[in-house]
Amino acid sequence: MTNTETKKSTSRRDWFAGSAALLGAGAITSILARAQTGTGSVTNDINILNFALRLENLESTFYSQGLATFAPRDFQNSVTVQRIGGTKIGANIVPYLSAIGQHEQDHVTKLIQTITALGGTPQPVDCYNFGFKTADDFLQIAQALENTGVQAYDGAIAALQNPNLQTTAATIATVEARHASFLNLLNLSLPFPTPFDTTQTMTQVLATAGQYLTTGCTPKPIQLTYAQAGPTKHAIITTNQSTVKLDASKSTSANGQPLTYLWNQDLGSPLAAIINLTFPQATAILMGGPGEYSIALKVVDSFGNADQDVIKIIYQP
Amino acid sequence: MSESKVSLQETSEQGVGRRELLLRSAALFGAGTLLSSSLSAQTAPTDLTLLNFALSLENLEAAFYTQGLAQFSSTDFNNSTFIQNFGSVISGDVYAYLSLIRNHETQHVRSLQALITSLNGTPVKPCTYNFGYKTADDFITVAALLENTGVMAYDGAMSQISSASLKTQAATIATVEARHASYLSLLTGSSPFPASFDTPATSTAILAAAAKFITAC
Repeated sequence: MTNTETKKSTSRRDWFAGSAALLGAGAITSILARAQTGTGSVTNDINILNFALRLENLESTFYSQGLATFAPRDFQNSVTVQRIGGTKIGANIVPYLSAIGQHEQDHVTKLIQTITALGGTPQPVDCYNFGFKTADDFLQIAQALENTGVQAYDGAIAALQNPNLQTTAATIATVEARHASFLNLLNLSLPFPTPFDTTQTMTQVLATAGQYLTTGCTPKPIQLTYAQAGPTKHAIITTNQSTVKLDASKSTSANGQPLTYLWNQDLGSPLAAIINLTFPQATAILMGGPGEYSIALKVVDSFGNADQDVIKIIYQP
Repeated sequence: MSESKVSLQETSEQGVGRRELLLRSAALFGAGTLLSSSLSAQTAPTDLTLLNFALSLENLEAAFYTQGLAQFSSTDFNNSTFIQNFGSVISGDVYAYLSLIRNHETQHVRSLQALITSLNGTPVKPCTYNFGYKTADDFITVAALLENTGVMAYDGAMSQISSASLKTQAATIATVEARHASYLSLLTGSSPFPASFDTPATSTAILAAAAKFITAC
């Protein structure tokens, strides 16, 4: 094991040395101020979830940027993947990284939903500069982020008051640990360096994350992938025309990438025909005469996150 | 997606009847305190009961690796079917990594025994096990199953632990089991991280799965 221990220490040392190069102290302080305001167990839990959301947003953006920057062959031909050798890893590296990116996006969605359900306001997305130039850089930063994620969740779980949230956090922590194990292995570090993982406090984690945050841009507000088929969600439209324009342009995409749209007639309605049924702007021809028509819209973003809306059209000629 | 869940069901349904499994699970604990408390939904298990539940799993895992690593050599793992699609960097380290996992499980056992003793409890003793593997490939398959089951067990127990410091201890073990599970799943050709969220399992389900490997207790 001595051999692997040595291989391991290099990249971890780089990471911890790198984390010393932080943003100005002011940025960190303001992050902490946001994370630690308020009292009471719900507020406490919301703050911890927002802290987790901040990390998951960082990770999710990191993977979507990296997968958009590098082609599959960049990963396959990287020093890291070539050095590991064999056919198994090279053939799967892109699917594996995509799966990790998808997991982080799913964690973001789950955390936003949970924070919102608790009456909290989800933390806006930060601006990032990950500074990777090559696929090898990317894989090393990925390793560092996932191991920090494990330490962050391990440090935060016991501070959550709501037992259901503890379970959610645990089932995320173990997934981050699976990612970390794989990325360690890829970077010639020990996949499981210690019998017990170490924990980090929020302050330590945010200081580490701080090196990837940039100033000078306006943070984007959090948005979910969201379907809206009419002027409002679940709109009821009354018309005397047998042709109705459908407009889904108020729908939003969580990752900013284009949505796919699908209009559909709900079962049980009088017969309608839909023109341009995979476009944000479509037209419904109300063929079944006067009555109530139910038209559904499903939108899916490039990560596969979906949302639906149903509008009711009351046709009274 | 729910690979580990499927395996768990397979294990608990293979050949042995449910009643028999429950009896064996009870045997795993001597007095069967956890079983009785987890079967009566109203009674939350105590931390001591949960620690002994964790210890029974770690005892099983520690015995599994100790036996397998005595039986198979580094060459056996290098020649296993699973390892053939991996390069020499990964195949050359398999025996060493399995040894490292064994060390972790042994350290989990010691740490849990010490915690149980410090709470004036009696640590459960290891049982006699039969893991049923014949080849190094079988061994890796069972290892992946055990580690994925371990993740489900710790994730499921997390919210039931009362003490905050024990909760943190459990979390830092859970993530190590997940690191093992990821590596072993990769070796078997399964996804190292099959789902966005791991699946928590009840102690009853975990004990039924573990009972398959217990011959005497």
